[in-house]
Amino acid sequence: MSIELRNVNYFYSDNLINSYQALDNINLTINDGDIVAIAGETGAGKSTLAEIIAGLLTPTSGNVFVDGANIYANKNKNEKILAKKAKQKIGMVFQYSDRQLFEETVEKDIAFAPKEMRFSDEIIKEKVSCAMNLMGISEDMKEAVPYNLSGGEKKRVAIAGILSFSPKYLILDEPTVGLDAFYRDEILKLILHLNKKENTTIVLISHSMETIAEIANKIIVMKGGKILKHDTVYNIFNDKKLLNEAKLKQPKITAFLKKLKDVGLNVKTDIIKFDDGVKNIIEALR
Amino acid sequence: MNITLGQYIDGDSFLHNMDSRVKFILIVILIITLFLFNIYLSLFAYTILTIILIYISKIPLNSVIKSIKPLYWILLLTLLTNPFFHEGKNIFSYSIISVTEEGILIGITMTVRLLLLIILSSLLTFTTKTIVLADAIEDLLKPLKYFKINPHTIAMIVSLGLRFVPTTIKEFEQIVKAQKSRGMDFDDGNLIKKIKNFIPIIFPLILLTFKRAEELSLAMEARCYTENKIRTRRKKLKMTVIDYKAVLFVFLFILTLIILQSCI
Ligand SMILES: Nc1ncnc2c1ncn2[C@@H]1O[C@H](COP(=O)(O)OP(=O)(O)O)[C@@H](O)[C@H]1O
Ligand SMILES: [Mg+2]
Repeated sequence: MSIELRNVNYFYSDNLINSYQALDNINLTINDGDIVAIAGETGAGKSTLAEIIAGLLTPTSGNVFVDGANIYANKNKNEKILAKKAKQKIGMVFQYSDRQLFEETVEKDIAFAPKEMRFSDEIIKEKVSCAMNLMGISEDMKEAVPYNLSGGEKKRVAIAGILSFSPKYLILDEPTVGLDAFYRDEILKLILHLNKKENTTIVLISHSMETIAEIANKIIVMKGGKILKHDTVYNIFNDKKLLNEAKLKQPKITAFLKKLKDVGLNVKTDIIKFDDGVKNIIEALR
Repeated sequence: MNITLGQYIDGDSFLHNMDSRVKFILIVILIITLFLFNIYLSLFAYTILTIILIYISKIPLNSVIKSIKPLYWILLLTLLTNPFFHEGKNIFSYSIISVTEEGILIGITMTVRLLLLIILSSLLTFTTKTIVLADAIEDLLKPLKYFKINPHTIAMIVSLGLRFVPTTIKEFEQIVKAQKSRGMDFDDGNLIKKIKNFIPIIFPLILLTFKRAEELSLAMEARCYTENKIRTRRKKLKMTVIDYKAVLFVFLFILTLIILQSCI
């Protein structure tokens, strides 16, 4: 089972005279159990791609299949029901949480999805409190109005609102931007937990090469609405030409190892994870 | 969902070059008279006039069509409900429900009028920058000074209102997206279900709009906006020969229709 995009194009148009091609013939397969990162400079089309995968933005042309069902199908009733079912397997956390929250209170907002999916009251309650716990949302925040929360709090409520229906595919658009270091680490831990324990497939958009190196196993590199390369983290971070073209960088630890090598220490320069790098340096120093 | 309502489209046409005050008044006059004349010939004349205006404004037909789109439910509703609510020659009846010939005609007439109203007002906003329109309205309201009402305040309110239209529409789309991301399906179900689907959007939309207004008033205060200060205008409004031509044309157009209406 997987997410598949076939020949997807997307044009933004404010009025028909100026339209802007944000995605250019995207073909892509995301396999179950993957943690895929999408990387690329601002304006590369990452958020647009994410929204299309999430079933929120109808492609101008092309198809998106989730577990075999075309999520934008609208020909007949049967297809539509399948599309709806498939869409409910996907959860997306928006880049701007302001845009994700719409209910009167934090609790109502988190409960919206499980309610919409017709779970029983008991299960809704359980799912909501579980999601609140995961995101460190305290009981006294329940009745707060989402609009009045701080940026980091909003983000946590937004993520809780998606976790509350346990999507099989979880798409996170820059989820750690604007969060305190503590919650950033918590979210990364949570992503790994969901992936390992619940077999949730993760699509993560991030500007942090270190974050990507730590948790992802594949990277989709984008530029100007196109996918330049979709490969393993190791292969991407060791393709200097590609990184330059996409204006990306190697993780800091890799750059650091390269510097050590230049001054004569016998270390590997293709390590991308922090802990592996530290181990390698210790070995080289022995 | 893409909505063009209220968006200025740059261009160099007769309509773009008119004094915005004159343009505003003439369009308002055309819209009002459109609803006053009640012969089919006048409806036909207004339709032709609107087509000519679209042509000379050089606004792409697609944009005009898009400006109608958000309101097409209202048009459809007008067209479909009127036949049931007017006395006249019965065409079809079933127990207490009856469709009349007059009803059908009134439905068509009202729909065409509304359609022309939307297009004419869109032509105004397509060819006039919001800020220029605000200046025009302020100018036109100057006589209010005699009643100790500050025209600048009113113009500010109107232009803020106009500015809010596109943002509010964007916000509406955003909330739809947010609810879709939590399992809501807007394309699902019949008409009643569709309308019901939009109810949960209204509350957050109002909340957001207030929030925006609050932010805006803060931003205005931060830039030391006070009601009595005289703003520097972008461009002095000035009537030129094309404005006189336009006034003359609208005058003759309406005069002809008045004569025709009294003859028939
Ligand atoms: N609502 C919109 N209307 C018009 N253009 C947009 C809109 N959203 C994004 N774009 C444009 O599409 C391109 C891709 O945007 P986006 O997917 O947000 O990129 P990224 O997330 O990689 O920064 C950008 O050039 C952006 O300006
Ligand atoms: Mg983005």
